[in-house]
Amino acid sequence: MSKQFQFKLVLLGESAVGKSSLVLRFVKDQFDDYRESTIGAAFLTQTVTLEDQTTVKFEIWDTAGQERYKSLAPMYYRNANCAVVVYDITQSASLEKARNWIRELQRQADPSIVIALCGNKSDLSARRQVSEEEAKKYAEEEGLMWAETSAKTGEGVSEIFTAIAKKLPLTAPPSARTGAGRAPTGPKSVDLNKQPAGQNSNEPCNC
Amino acid sequence: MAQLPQDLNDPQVTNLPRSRFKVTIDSGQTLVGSEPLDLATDNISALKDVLAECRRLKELSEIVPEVNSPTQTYSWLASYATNNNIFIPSLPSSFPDLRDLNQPLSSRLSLASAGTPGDDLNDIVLIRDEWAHSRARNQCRRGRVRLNLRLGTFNVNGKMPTQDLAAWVRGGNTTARLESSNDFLPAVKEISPLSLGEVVKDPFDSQRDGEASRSNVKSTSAFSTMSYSSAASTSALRDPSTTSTFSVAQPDNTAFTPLSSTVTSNAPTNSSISSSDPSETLVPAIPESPEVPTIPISKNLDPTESEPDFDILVLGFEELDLSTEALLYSTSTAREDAWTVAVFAALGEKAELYEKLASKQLVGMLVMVIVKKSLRSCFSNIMTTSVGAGLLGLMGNKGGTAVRLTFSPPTSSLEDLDSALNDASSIGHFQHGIEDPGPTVLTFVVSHLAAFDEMVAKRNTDFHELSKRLVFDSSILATSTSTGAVSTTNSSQRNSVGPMLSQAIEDTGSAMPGGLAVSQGLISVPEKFGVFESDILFWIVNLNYRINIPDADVRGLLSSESWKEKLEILTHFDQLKTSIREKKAFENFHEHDIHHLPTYRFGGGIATDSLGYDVKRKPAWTDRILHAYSPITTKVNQSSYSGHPEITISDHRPVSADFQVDVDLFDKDQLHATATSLFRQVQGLEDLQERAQAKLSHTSIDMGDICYKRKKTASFTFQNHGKVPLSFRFLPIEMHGELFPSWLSASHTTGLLLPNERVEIVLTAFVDNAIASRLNLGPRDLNCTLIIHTLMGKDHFVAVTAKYQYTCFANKLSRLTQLPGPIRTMKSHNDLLGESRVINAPREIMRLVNWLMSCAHPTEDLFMAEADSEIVDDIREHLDTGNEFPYSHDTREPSIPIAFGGALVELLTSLPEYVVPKELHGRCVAVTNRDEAFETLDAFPPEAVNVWISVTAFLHYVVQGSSLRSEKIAATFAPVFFGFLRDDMTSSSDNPSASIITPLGYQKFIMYFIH
Repeated sequence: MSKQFQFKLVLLGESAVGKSSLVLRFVKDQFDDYRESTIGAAFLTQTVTLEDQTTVKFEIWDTAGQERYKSLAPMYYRNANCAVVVYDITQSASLEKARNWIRELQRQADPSIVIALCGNKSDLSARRQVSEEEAKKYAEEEGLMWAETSAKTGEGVSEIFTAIAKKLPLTAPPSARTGAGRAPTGPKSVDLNKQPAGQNSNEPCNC
Repeated sequence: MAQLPQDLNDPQVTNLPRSRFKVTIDSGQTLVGSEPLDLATDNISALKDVLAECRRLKELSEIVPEVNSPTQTYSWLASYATNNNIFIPSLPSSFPDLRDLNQPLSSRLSLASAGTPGDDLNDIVLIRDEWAHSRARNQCRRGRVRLNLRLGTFNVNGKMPTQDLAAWVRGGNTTARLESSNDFLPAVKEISPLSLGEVVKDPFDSQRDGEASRSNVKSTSAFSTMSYSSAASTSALRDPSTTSTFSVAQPDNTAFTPLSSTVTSNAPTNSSISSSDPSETLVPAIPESPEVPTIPISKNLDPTESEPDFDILVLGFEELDLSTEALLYSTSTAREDAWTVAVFAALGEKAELYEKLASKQLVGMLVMVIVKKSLRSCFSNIMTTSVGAGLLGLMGNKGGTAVRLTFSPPTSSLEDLDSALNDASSIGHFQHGIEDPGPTVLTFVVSHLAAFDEMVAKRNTDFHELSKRLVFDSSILATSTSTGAVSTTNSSQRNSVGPMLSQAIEDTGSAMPGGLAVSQGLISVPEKFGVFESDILFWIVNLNYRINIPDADVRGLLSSESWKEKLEILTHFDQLKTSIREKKAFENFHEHDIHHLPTYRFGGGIATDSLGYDVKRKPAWTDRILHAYSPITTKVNQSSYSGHPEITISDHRPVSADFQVDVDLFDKDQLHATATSLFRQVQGLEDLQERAQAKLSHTSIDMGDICYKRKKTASFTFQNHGKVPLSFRFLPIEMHGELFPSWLSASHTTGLLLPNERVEIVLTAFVDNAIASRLNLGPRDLNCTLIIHTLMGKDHFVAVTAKYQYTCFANKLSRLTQLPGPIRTMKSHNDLLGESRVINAPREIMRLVNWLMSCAHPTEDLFMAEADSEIVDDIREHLDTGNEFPYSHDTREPSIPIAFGGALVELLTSLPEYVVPKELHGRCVAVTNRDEAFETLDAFPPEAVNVWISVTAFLHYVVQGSSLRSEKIAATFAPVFFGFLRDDMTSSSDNPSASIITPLGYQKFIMYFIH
């Protein structure tokens, strides 16, 4: 039976760079021209199947980009295995914000976190303010993955998530979930390793 | 093979060619790893064996013998059984635990925080169950029926009944009563401590009465018509005020006092003594259940009596038999019989109305339930139990005995309900539609806990032990043989949702376990009920809790002229009240304020003090009556709580209490049908995460200025914008953190919304003393983000901003002396004066004292009368801003100086540290003369010395040599200076020797300065 892994992924970046659109494209292959600003944090899941039939399930936290909610971000990137830091290639200020996020992640997040820098809105390259070279160079210096995407056309979206899946340490699964169905329902039990329950009712069992 | 069972959800047999049979075993579930299994065979007898085995397994899984074990025993069946798509839970037939119902649901949900969801699946089950429970109840409630209960407790000390017990048993006319519902505060009457126990109305009652009357004029008139129709002519003649009751409801009609507390709206104020709304029930902005009338259960023998005859009389006796044999074996009912005779004798001409329904004795403890004969048929499933907690934890000299009753309203109340509904409505004819009135469960516990002052921890343990070990077993019914009324069978609904192997397994993991064991209707498993599995639980009797201040203080306060005012001090140090306050025992229980004298220990031939108390035993309230109730199903009002000093048989005095319990009138089957249909509406909530969509009316809320002790509210709506049901809960930002900052609370912390429903969530900002003492040290801007988590879905943020207005209240004295000016003018905390530049004494206190000193027309009532809180607020505002007081020194209005006095007392009481540092209390109490008292001041911190001297100098001026006045003032200021009425001062209740609090000692110390 094929192996299955589960990872927590968090999206960070300035408001209106397209974090929610990226997730929507990745999870549902849809795009909304007019999306309301995210006020809160959305939790979604999507599974990627690699060539060797290994499946990687992402538990994705799409966070609010607005500055006023910045203090809550650590709650969402804590225990994350990977982070996608998004900027808008038509807004050079958004790359600055992305740098800040990356610095914060490097300082505060789990040291083994895999960080991908993602330049979104590549379909608007006519209005480009951030050159590929600049972003790529920065990513290389910091040892980050990097790609440009367009949530609108879908270009590069699944590729970047697949690339992250490949880069994650697939030898030691972070979650050792077996069996199916409901999570144990002991009240008030604290299990810090426990992943959010109940997402797997339609998946193959790994037992 | 067509006759092979098709109703099993597993094997499906298909007749294949050439006599081969294919069997498909399908769990009926979409669960992983449980794909259908195909077997083929031509061996018919083997196939029969397989099918028989399948059937056996299915039956096995339906039998769930014990509440706690099935998950372990049959867990392997789970994945072959339940199909989520057709699984509809049912209203559990057992009762939810009162302790759960009285805690916010959010406290029972899984541990979670922002970004770290908990066990959403299980939380959904909890939220859904509570939602269906309370909503079904609200939808099916057609009215309420009022039961009048009288409870009594008497530790008889082995004596036999040699006195008339009428005052205790009957109450009513034999006890002095304050009837006027206009009394907001218990009237302070100077009466002898040895006079009859006095019944004082709870001040809350009066307020509620007002509300009730306003909101419920219609049913009030309906009630009076029904209850008093036979008496209409006589009472109208006798008392003109009642006449108006029959035409127009009079809110303050004293002739119908018990009626005026009939609150029939579903407002959260309905409960009697609880101060806050304990229910977490969702109140969506959809039609609430309509107001329902309350019906009296039976009519008075003497219709001219304004007090209704009680319907149930429950008496608890302790130390019924003190002989040594009784400890080991007690089979004799001689003593019980003697007391029963005495009780019925005490009922006088009304005795014929009543009969004994049940009793249970354990050594010296006896619980006796007496009901009206006319209501006898309403009670069923009478169960009794008892548990010893004495020697070896088992002997019956201490312990508890209990009775559990199921009450089903009589059909006569349904007729009354019909007429009430029709009277209340001018149009149409209403039918209650109740065929089988649903039951209400009442439990009465009588307990006798460990003795002696220092045993408070043991007593608390005893309580928890009894809570666990007092269990009723339905197989040992006292009288009735059928469990029908309690274990509401709903096998018909069960069948309609199809056979499910492990439905019971599924459900036992949910919030209300045990309910399905009998609901299959196939097997009869004895049910066990804890005492908390009731709609209302009365816990009465001899708790042996004592008062935690020195003996001399207790006696001194009790024998003082104004003893009624001193009861507040004494009850504050009562070990039971302290245990409840500190949540060490009797959590979720309510006890009425005590307005009667301690009931223990009175001497008979032994040395006694002037009040008749044994000089060797500290007087105490050892005989108590408490209750806990389900806010969903019952409403409770307590109209009396009194001691009966005139009954002197024992070394204890008996205590009685009157309750009005309003229980729901609903149809049993309808409740189940409604609950099932509600469950149908929200089934599959677990699988719906991404489709649930919520919409917030506001994502940011500005609460504006937040001031000390001034409530401020703001609200937003949370709407289910999607097509599927949605459940939500607030989440703390940090794991284990609070949902809200200390100064903020919300009307809902969990909820369930059907599509398009919305709920208005009201945020309330309130800064009390403890909060102010922290906020005064922090930044002005109070910003926070609230997180509403949609279960299996998103986190929604609501940003809340507010500006805190600093106040001079709730600051340390040393900090007040560091303020460069009025506290509101302070720009930053760095502006505080350095050590060398601090002022002598807080200017706010000096301003108050100075104003009072220069007041041209001082009043006798200064520090004695209640201060007008609005003026006090205004005075505080002027202290905070530094503005001139808008009150002239020449005012002849006494309320102004009284308010200044009130402000001074409040300011001193609000200090985070007492004026007299705690470590000096012992020294102050020890001084024996004036010089020593003044010497003690050298040890005070400098700012405290100045406050002490200026305030006591002013008090000295106020009392003007009158020793009576100075004693009163010293009594008022003792808790102010020494802070002993604050909650933090009693936290050492388990260890009384840690700090001895002596109210009279502090008073004496103050006297050296003011007299």
